[in-house]
Amino acid sequence: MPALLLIPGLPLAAFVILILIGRRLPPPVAGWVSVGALVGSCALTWAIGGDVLHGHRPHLQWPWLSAESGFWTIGLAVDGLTWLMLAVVTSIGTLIQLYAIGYMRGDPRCSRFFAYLSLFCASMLALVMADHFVLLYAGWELVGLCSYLLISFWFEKPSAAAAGRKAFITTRIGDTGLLLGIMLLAFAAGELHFDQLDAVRSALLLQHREFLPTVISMLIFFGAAGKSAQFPLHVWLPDAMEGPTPVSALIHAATMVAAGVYLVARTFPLFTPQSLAAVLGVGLFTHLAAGTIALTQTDIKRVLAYSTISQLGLMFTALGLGAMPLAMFHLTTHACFKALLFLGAGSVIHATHQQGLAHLGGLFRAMPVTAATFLVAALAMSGVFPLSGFWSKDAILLTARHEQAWVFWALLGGAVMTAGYIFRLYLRCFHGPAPTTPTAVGVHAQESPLIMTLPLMALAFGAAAVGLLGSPVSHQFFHLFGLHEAHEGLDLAMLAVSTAVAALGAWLAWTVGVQHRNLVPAAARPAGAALYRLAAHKYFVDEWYDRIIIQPFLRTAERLSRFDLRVIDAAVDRAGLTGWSVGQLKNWFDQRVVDRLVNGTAQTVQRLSRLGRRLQTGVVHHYLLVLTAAVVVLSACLRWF
Amino acid sequence: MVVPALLESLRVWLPELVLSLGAMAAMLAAPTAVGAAAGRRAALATWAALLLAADALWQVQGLPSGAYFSGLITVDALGHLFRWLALGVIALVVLMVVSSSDVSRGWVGEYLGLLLCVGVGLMAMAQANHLLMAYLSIELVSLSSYALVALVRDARSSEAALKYLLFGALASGVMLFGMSLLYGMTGELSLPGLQGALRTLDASSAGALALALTLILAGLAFKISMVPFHMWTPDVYEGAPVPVAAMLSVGPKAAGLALLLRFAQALSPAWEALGPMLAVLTVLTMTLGNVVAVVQQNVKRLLAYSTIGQVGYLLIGLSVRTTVGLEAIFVYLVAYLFMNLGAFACVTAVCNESRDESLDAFRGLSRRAPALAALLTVFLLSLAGIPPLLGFLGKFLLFGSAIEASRVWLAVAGVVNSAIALYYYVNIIRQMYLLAPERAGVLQAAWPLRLAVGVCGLATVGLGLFPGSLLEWLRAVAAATRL
Repeated sequence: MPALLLIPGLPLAAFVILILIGRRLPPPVAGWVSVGALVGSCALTWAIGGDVLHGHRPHLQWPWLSAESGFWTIGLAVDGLTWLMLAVVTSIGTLIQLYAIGYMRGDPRCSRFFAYLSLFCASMLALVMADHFVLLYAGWELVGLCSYLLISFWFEKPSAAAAGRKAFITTRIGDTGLLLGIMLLAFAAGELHFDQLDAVRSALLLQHREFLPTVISMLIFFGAAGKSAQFPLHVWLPDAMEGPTPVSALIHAATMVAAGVYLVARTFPLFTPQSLAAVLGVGLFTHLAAGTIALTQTDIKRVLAYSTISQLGLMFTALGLGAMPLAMFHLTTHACFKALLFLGAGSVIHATHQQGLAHLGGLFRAMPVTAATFLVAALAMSGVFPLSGFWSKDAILLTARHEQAWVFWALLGGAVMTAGYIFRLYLRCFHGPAPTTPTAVGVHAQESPLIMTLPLMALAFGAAAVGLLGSPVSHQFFHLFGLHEAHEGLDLAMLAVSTAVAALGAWLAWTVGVQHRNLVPAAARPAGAALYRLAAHKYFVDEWYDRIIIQPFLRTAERLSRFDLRVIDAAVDRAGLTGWSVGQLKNWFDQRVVDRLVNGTAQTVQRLSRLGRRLQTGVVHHYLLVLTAAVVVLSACLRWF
Repeated sequence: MVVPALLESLRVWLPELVLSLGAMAAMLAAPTAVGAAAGRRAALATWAALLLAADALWQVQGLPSGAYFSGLITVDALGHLFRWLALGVIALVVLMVVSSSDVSRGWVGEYLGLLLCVGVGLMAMAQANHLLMAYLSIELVSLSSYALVALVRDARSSEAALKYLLFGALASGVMLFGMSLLYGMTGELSLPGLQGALRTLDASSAGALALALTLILAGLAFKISMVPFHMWTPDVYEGAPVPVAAMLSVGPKAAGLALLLRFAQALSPAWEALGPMLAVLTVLTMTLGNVVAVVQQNVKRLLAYSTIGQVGYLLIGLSVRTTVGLEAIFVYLVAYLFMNLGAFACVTAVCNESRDESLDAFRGLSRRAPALAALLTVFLLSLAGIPPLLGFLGKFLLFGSAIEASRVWLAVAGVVNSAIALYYYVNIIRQMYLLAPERAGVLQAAWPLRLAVGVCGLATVGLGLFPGSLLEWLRAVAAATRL
């Protein structure tokens, strides 16, 4: 199947072209090269979709290091899970890159931007197609690198450079966990192919009980938590919003951050009940905590960033409940509506050059397409029937109600917050009073060009309709995971509850967020204000990290440096002085003896060389004489020795 | 009885027959037209012959191994490998000949025909199973080569051809004398027969046997430019057109090694006595080649000495005489074929344009022809044995085989020589990248040259990175070859 190779190969080719000759191409062409390559990958993905749906598993494998055994092979494989990720990455990626052509117009490093985006797509596609942990890890690190490059794309801004560094270091901490997990698995099981994971699990359980699989799966989950910005490694994602908005949409909302969810889904057989409980705990906590933070933020992109963290938490909650296909379903619908939200936000920023909520408002009239599509996405995310978010979120809620009731109630609370923060954002941007501050330019805002609104409309269609594929109406989505039994049908009670919850959230957003009415009873106000401050400061996690990790680290470094200066350097100086006198002696020795030897060798080679040349007289009689003499001498040697 | 056997033998030799017919066709095609058309017709005939021969060679690989033509030739894995090598050399050199300005346009047909004759000779050398066959095939290669060197008809080339002829005549006379001694002692001419007869020889004829072996070794040493039978090499390379020098630097070396391997196996117990002497000559060969190359200013002379040095490395595999050594020889020969011909093709391109064979012609080449300079750098680094290029792999295996056979000093000599060699290879790279060009303008090579350089570059880099299937094949050939 060379088609498999082409899926990551086309974006890779686009990267090579752009990085080598991108500068010489006119800026729009660079974008079109990148988009064209991804459209090719997208077409190939959809072309093999039918086969995959019918249980066909294309697989391409070739030996890498075959010296000892067939252990080190590299391969690309597509099953339902992989195909789903391919479809999400290529389809949404195409739309976002199209949008980026409009968004990045006029940027002097436009071709470099698209080169990075193509490299990102190639590595992301390789990551999800890998049939082996090692290739997955390579893709994992490459997407991390691309994320770093793109967050700090505008590196002239110190905050962007710092954000890129923070993202890189934080995710590296998680990656270390993943690497340890992979190494542990390689040593314990000697098998790193994904299609062998079931056998590996039974072998490990037989030999080590549940301890080793739990450790390995927790290490893998640690890596996933880093990439997917789960507590306590979530701090990098809000800062990552320093990157260009299409990057936030593609990498930090729709695809790369979902790689953690994909990793857990891919290695699901390794997870034991204990580790699933940890996944559930972390996921649920992140879902709720990030939701509260999102309610208090005043920067459009930061609200969306915390919303992403929160929704990823929801996916991990589903994984923790054991409902892997549901997590992937929510990943798919979330990719659609969150990409749309980010692109909508980008459209607003592009038009007004503002991203603080205080400077925005009343944009509905100026930017109708952006506002309408943003509204569709907000409704979808709040879980309003029959948009996509409803189907995926309610399936998770239903599962929670059957499995663990308290999770269900917690998730309901989360749903209120989701509707709350997203409507607060929507209403304050597009309705609400237009800002009166002199810096505001909202009044002059104009709708974005067609190349940007077209992807918005396409994504709005996706955000509205994709969920139907996994609804009781059509069960197609779950066929990808080999699940063919009928859906349990539409639960009318859940429908009502879900809509009521979304309506409650929206109402709260209107009264509290837009009209600034305080609903908290007077007695509880001080406590409420304290809670608000806590959430608005993101629970002081960054400050905590600063105080308990970064500052002590710096202080230790400083102390060590002082020790270096006073003790080691002094000793070195003393030693240096001694060395200097020895050096004087050696210098003399070097000049008189060693140099003469070295130069002598070089001269000898030169002299020998000239001698050899001189032997080559060019007189043929001499040559013939040498030949004859050589024969005589050689046979004499052979006779006598 | 005779006729079916003969037909079977002819079938095995289909590639050689096709090449011979192609040689005649190429030489006869030229007079049928005038000017450039003559060259085109000859080239067409040559390519047809080469492609048909490759196809035939592919077909005959399946035939059973054994002796054919009443025991004159033998068909085995070793022979097949060297037939492919010969075909590869000729094909790449043909690409150079048709676009070299050293080759006078009126003589292209003769050049191509003689090249195909050399190809037949090389293939026959690799399969010789009989002293007569060995001698005949060596002479076929030699005579065609003399003519190829002489065809330019200027003073320098004539001098080179005459030197080559005189030296070659003496060497082949010496070898023939050695063969006649063997025949006189045993009454046998076929290699398997000799092997049997030598075992029954009594001790009194040991001296004559030693003399015979030395004489035969001398004859073959002339072909592969082993010290002290290398004297002709720099003069002939300098006088010959660049493509012919390229052919001489790879084709006869490979076929000569094949024949040496066959003789070593057939004359087995007596040949062991040559061991220490061969090892000393190995070290002498590589050292002389590399050391004298350091001061060369003419690029063809430099490559001639570099060839001698490279032959020295190859001789390591011959003097250890193990399966690993054999495999190493094969790998290095494949590597050498691509990197050396690639380097010669680049030199052809440069000399075509500048008419200057000194190293100065390479100044600033990176600015005038960046791709060509980059590829020449690849070839030179591969010749120097820098990873991850194919040349490194071959050298690594050769030195490894020396260590495995506990001849560590051979490996040490090889490593020291590689260090010396790096100097003059990198010197060319320095000329290309660090010095300002002597003349302005972009250097555009003809397409056949670009094709040859591209193929060689692809093989040098690609096979260096992914040597898996190549190593597998060559290991199988080495395993199937008796020592």
